[in-house]
Amino acid sequence: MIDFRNITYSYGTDMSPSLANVTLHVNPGEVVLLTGSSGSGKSTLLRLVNGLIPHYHEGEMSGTVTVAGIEPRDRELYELAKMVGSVFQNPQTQFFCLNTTEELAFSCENFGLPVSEIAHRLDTTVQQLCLEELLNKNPFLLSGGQKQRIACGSAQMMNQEIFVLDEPSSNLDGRSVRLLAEVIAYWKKEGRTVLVAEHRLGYLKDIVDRVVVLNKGSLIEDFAASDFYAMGSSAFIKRGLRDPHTECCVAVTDQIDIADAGFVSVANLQYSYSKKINGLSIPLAKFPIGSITALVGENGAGKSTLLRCLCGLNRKCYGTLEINGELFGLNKPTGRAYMVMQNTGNQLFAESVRAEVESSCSSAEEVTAILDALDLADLAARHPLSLSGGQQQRVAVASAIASNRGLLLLDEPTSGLDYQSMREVASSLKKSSIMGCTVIVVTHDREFITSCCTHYAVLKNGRLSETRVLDEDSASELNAALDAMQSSVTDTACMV
Amino acid sequence: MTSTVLALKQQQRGILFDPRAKFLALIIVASLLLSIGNEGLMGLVRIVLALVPFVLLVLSRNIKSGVAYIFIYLVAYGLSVVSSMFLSGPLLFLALGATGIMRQFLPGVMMGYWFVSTTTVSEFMAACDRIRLTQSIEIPLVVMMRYFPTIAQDYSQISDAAKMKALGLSQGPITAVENRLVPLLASAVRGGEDLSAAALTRGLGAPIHRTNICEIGFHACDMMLLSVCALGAILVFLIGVA
Repeated sequence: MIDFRNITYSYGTDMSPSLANVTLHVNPGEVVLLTGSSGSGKSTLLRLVNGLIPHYHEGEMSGTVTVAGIEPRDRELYELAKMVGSVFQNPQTQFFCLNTTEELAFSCENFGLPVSEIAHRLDTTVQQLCLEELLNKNPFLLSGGQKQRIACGSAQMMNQEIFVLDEPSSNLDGRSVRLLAEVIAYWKKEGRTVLVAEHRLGYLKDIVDRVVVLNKGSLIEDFAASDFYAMGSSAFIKRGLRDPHTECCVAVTDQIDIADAGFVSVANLQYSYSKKINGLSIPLAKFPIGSITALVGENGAGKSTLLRCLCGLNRKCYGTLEINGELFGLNKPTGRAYMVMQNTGNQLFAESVRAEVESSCSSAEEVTAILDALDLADLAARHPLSLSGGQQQRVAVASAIASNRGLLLLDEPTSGLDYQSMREVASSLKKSSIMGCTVIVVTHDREFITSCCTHYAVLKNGRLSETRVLDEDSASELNAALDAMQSSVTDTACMV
Repeated sequence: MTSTVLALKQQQRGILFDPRAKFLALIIVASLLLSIGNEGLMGLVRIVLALVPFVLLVLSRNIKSGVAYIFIYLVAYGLSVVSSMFLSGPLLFLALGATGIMRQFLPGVMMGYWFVSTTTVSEFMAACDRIRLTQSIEIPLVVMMRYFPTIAQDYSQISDAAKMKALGLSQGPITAVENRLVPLLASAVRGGEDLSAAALTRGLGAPIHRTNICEIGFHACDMMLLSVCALGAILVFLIGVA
């Protein structure tokens, strides 16, 4: 169905090739997982299939690609769009219409199908992928999993035989990932050919037929799925891959020791979004100084809102933050908390990494020390917005440490990061904790929790549980809590 | 064939105007407001014109914005009257300047807001197709419309970050503006690139006559809207001649 023969490709601006002599054959009806660290060439392979290379991205290419018997470079992009459906990483920038029903119909409209035919296909797709409840909504207001489900729906409206998905789970939490997995499983059942590029491996375990591992542009291994998933943890780590085994459970490993230095505490926190919805209500929460607390909870439990409140960014939030014996009101910027946002690019303002860190600290030596500690010395002169996602996270963490505020808050820092970058963020948090920061991190990434968190707390219906030390006993409870969040099936009732 | 999905699409969004009528009304109201004075009869016409976006926002069930708008407008109007009674010299000049800008531009801006907030991307494309606008103009316009909400979202995140970092005007206004604009532009460029790629893989730009699931067309309400606008234009013209 898809045939790559001796493909070497480099993007216009890059010296090093993104793909080096890759040969891969995909049979009709196969579901193939492409994995490898960031920059390994996964996305480039997908773009060769849907025609974005060479029609949209410029670069140098040798070798031949054949998709269902034709060569993409000889056809126009819109002709390929009829054969290949594409789903991308970021739902925010893949929706063209701001209404889900229009979004589903978009490709059919572009191909000039009569409205009656579009209506028929809409009904079919809605029924197949269980989209009824998502219709006629603003896609931005849906959960991540629902967004990707709409994206999958609109990718299949031209009855494509081939689907390519580029890191579709990056922005999804555990439950949402299941929504996505169901669609891919459905396509497989229907005999479509699917290529998925992913860092996250666990959710595809029972769906994919083959796993192809890429490294720096070369295809290094081609596994049958059963062999791949039978490998031990060390085999994944050796290849720089996320470990699907720890993806399913938190373990206690090399947690740092915390000196008994008191608490950062939050008291009488009250916040409501509107009269209809219950907001946050936290009488008292204590976070040991120097701890790294994983804050977990279901979609919409108010985790991100809580972080904003702790920064004092919600004017309608009442309560106090006590840190180092000082009390701060939460209804205006506290100046004691530093937040690393989900979309880190939107908080890096300076023209170089060094200047960014300097903007929160005046001592040049300290800045140098922090840059060294977080392995940013080599990047000091780069513009922050030219860095990769994981590097941007580290720059923001560096500014946070430099700001010397004591409370560091992170919102899903590892979504979309590969193994290496995830470890880097984890180690930078450990370093910040050693330097005296108290860290609260919203996450559902169990491998990440395993690699750095010392405590955890569960946010449910606006109430925060007690902050507990992560040890053997509590780890199993945390696992159970995370499992329960994943398996609540309100969205998925009709597909399974 | 009857489609359950498309039937569902006809949900209640208040009175639905045709995008073409809306656009025409936007142009007429905005240009009339910019071209007429504040004195005598013209001042009266101006107030009536300023009511148009209020009425339209209420009709499209966006009552909150409508009320907020009319409140701000009336306050600006009141201030301009009061200040011309009690102030003089440079102070009066300043007060009239500030309130004048509000009165001059706010109604036009609100017309624009009403247009963007009540027109879906698909409706807008349908309208562009009907007036036979070429794709090379239509697509950039649509992308722009599609991008407003994203920009708003990015901007609020960026200003959150600035507040959190305690970066206010203390560093000087130019740095403050730069701090907000550079990340905004960077994210718009990146987002725009991804959006175009996604749209191209779904056949946008195919040399085929597009169809559209949105049924647009002129109805009685469009006629009413346009008549009101035309009446305003004629009135302004007559008063101007007299």
